[in-house]
Amino acid sequence: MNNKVTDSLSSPIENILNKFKIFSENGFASEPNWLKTIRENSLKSFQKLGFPSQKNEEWRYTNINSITKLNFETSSNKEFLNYSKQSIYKYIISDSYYLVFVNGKYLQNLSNPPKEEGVIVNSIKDAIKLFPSEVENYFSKNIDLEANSFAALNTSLFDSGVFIKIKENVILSKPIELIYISQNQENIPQLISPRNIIVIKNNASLDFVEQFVTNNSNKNLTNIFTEIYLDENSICNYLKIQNEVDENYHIANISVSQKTSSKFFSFAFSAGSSISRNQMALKLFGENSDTNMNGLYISTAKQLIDNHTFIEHTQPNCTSREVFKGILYDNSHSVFNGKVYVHSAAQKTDSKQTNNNLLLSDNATIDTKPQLEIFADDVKCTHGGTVGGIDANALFYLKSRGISPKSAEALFALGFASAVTETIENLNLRRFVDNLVVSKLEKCHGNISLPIIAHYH
Amino acid sequence: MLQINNLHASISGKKILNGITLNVNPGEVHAIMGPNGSGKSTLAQLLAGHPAYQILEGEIKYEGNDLSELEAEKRAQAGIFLAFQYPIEIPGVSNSYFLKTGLNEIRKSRGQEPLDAFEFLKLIREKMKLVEMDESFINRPVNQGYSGGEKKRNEILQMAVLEPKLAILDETDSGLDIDALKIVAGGVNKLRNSNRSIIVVTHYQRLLNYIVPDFVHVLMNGKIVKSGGKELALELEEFGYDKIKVEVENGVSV
Ligand SMILES: Nc1ncnc2c1ncn2[C@@H]1O[C@H](COP(=O)(O)OP(=O)(O)OP(=O)(O)O)[C@@H](O)[C@H]1O
Ligand SMILES: [Mg+2]
Repeated sequence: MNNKVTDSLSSPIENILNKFKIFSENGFASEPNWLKTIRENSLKSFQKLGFPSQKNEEWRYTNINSITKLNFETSSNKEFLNYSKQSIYKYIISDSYYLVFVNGKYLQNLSNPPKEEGVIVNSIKDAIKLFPSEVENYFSKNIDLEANSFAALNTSLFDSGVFIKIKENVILSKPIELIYISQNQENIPQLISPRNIIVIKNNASLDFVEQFVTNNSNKNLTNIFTEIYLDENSICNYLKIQNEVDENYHIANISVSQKTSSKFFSFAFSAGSSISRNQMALKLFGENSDTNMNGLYISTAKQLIDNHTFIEHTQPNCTSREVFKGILYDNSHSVFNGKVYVHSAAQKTDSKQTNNNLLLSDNATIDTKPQLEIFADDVKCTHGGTVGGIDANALFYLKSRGISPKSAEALFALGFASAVTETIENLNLRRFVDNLVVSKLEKCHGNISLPIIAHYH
Repeated sequence: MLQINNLHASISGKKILNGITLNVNPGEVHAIMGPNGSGKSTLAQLLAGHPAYQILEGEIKYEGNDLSELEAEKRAQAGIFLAFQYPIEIPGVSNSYFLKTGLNEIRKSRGQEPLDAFEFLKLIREKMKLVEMDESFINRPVNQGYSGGEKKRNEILQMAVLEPKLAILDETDSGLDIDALKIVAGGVNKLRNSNRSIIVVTHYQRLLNYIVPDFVHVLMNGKIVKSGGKELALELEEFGYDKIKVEVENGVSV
């Protein structure tokens, strides 16, 4: 790594403090006081916590040393002119609204934001200017910034992202897709800190997608923090696609708050980045709420893919379901840590968690850790997991129909994956993910060609 | 078509087959009957190329060539088909997807053009009629959530699509209701021709009323102890295996 990064004499953390200083004298100066205070406190938290080390139980399996050594530049005012409709076409999910960002910067001319009645979409900075108290109501309400250094870092430095609000009783007709393109800027690693706030009011419904991609090789770190608030009786389907190139870094915090009788479904597809961490914390604040947190990770080469989920039941009669599947190749390392916490008041909690891993290399490592902490007595909570290779009988069955071992393995892996992608209800979203899975597996299994997954009933 | 000579085989160090000799000519239907655990499925799986079985002695020749070194997929490509006693579930892989991949790899090995999605769909629909299977099974994952009978029908569907030269049906009748048995047997009979050989493993004479065999063999302790025509099945139905056991013990020639 002989780029400008290593020329800098200051340490990465000092570098971040300097950035903050510059920002607070410029861009942040006009922000409301409550936000300035949160930013300052967050910076202090980050300073105190530093980057998490493996001594921290929550980061035990996840070595991020290569991230902490980089002196990041924070998003400049560079204009990104090299993008055409053509160049982003492949990221657009059919029949969806989409907003395109490059290194956090919004590309208005390439975006197609919703113009429906009852939907508010603003950049987070505009939202802070236009309706500061509304943003304040939904800002960092369900996260402990003193304990989460990446969320604190995001909060202190964020200068991009969106505020979306779906008003009462509004059912949005199409998904809203946020396309985050990470781009190489003169070989200087960029720290990209988008902050999204998604609010879904009573009886409203939203399909929401975050897609992270790269158009060229870079060592950028995307450190995103997304907050989702579901009001009573609302529905949110959230799809996250993490498909950045293998050199860069991706850390995501997603915090979800659910009120009474709300329904949340999420699907996290992780296949990109050299190190990625998807950290989802969901809190069920109201009775009769329903949560589904699913995902698929495919790690190859020397990738590290970490999914950390935390579901907190605070009220009675809620259901949570979680299915994460992983396929591991080469020397890759994946981590799944799923914690379910049931408060004493949360009687009749019904919770089930599953993590299945398909290990397709002797050199790949999986660390899977389910955690159940239950303080109520009348609950139904289970978890289960598997780690294994391709089932020998299944392989024989496939081969006995004339299928070569290479195709048989690929087919088995595809079946393994599609048994979880089929939980994505919206067919356009499911197809989009399935296509990504197919092309990824085709590469992993030696450029064989796999048909597109067939079952769309 | 198939010649098995003095075949001895084991699994996990346990010897199961103790000298099987069997000759199957093109167009013939052979029934193999025998008590539980006698080695019928072992023979069937071994013929299909299951890697867990070890040949200790003897040989298997298919169309004049030694089979023992051939991988399962190569055997299928050469025209061998096994309808499994316990069909395997493949979660997430649709039936059509699975069969199309198999058929096209078999076609490729024979220098034939692959079928495209449209041609394949036409073919599978036609074959589904043969075993009266509902079209919804086209897109359902392979064997997952199927009833016992549906799994067996699905095996015969696969046979119909892949059009093997040698088909081994391992207890395809068990788990089928009376109507389904007739349908499946009818399907098999339609696939019967002068070039195709079929080995039917069964416990029940009933199936053989529909798929009438040319020969019936009794397998006991990994060895064929008696062979005969279709009337042997009737005899077994009436007297069970005890009579044969006695005959064998007394050294009555088969
Ligand atoms: N993996 C194994 N390890 C040890 N023994 C095995 C193994 N697989 C099969 N066997 C044994 O081999 C013997 C023959 O089994 P096989 O399945 O061939 O019998 P079968 O004649 O098909 O019986 P059934 O009529 O019940 O289907 C049985 O005693 C069985 O327990
Ligand atoms: Mg058997």
